[in-house]
Amino acid sequence: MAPMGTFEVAQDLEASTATLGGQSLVFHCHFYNCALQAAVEEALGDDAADIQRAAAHSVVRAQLLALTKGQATDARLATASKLFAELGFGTLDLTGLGPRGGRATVKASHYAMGWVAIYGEREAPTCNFVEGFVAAALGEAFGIASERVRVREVGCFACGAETCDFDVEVL
Amino acid sequence: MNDVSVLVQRDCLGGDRIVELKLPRAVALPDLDRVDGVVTRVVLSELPRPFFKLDVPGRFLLTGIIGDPRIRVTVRLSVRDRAVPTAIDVARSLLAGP
Amino acid sequence: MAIREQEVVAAVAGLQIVGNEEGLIPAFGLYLTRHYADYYNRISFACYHRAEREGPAARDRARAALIRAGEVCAFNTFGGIMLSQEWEAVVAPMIESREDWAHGMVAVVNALGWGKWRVDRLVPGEELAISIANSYESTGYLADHPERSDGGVCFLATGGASGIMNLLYNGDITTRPALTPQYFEQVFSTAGRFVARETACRANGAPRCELITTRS
Repeated sequence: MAPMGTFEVAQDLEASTATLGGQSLVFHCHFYNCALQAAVEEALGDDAADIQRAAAHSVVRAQLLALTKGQATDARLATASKLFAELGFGTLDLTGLGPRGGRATVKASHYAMGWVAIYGEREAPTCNFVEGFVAAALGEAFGIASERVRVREVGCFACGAETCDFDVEVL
Repeated sequence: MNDVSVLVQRDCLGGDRIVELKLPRAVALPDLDRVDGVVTRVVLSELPRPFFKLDVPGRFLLTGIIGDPRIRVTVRLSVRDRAVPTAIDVARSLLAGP
Repeated sequence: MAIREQEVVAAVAGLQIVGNEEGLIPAFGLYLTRHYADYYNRISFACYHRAEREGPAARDRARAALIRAGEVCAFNTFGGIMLSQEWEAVVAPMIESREDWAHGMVAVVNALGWGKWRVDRLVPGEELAISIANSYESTGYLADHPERSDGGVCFLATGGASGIMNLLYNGDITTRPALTPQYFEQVFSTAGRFVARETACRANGAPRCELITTRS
């Protein structure tokens, strides 16, 4: 096992794989992350955001289920924040979330900063992956079914804001 | 610190936070002990060209190769306005010894 | 071959590549994420499946776009790695020929969690054959979807293989060029560029995914 900050990623050097909480992890830089997002947006149009959110939610929720077993609610949210940072996505503040939703904030969003560096500012928020991550974090922390959690980025660094802000609703 | 050359300043995430410098002499292993505030220190000493990585939270990541005069200082986002002075301070620390 | 892959993988694994207190991972002169293979897979395959439903032309465009994203990755990530201090320390001392750059880059790939890449054949300046026992793309595809009758799904890997040959033999990464958008066009779009094809894929029932890269 290779220590990775708080989390121990299971590295199989023979198979060249790494897993954490049952999820396979792969290193990629922002050039690929943004190029792939651009390709997905081109191909899927208005559906791209939903699909990226759903994909993120699916993998993150499964992983958090494994990583936060037995933890209290606050600890689950803290684990999600630490995970977000250690995986290189930026700093995620989930302290404004409760069982009825609330507001989450990201500083130094990898996706938003990367997008601006490569393509410049854009009209629509870019952090669809983060929307899914936040939804998974809230759902897992409070035991709320995925389909009841709705997260939308309401301010994005890639659109000129200082930070990336997310409105979180629970249906 | 006239004999430290700033070679490159760039940042692929859109800032100017990566500063590459050339020192007037090669970095030696004892030089690394003079960098203050290091929380994470990695030295791949088994390599023929030992790579080192020193992380000072809130300030910078210093990387280089023992025996090579070039170092890279990746300054934290929060102190990016002081990227070059920070990098030169790091160089000064490394060079302070014999 | 001079590249000692186990040493390369062990060295990269020992670098402690993890987010700092700002949640960023500076490494190899880049900013990395340790991302979810199945996030990439699910969004990529969503694009591909929708395009397939639209018809062969749309499918081919989607395939090309996803492979192009892989080429962007290869140019910037592989290029960045091959220009990095980490490469100078870990891989460069083992290099005895231009071809060792390709072997060295594959060794580093095998530390990125992408699955086990193997160079089956490298004809200098002409052809690269790579096979992968467990590419994360085919692994993810088979976990989520039934086996396919045709069409490989290793788009990122295909772009990566193309990137290695284009950086080495269409451009020249050994001269330490600046990785600018203009250089990307020069390396990937000019006459004589290399093109990679996936000739076998585990998603189609093959035992290994196979990529052949040759000049167009």
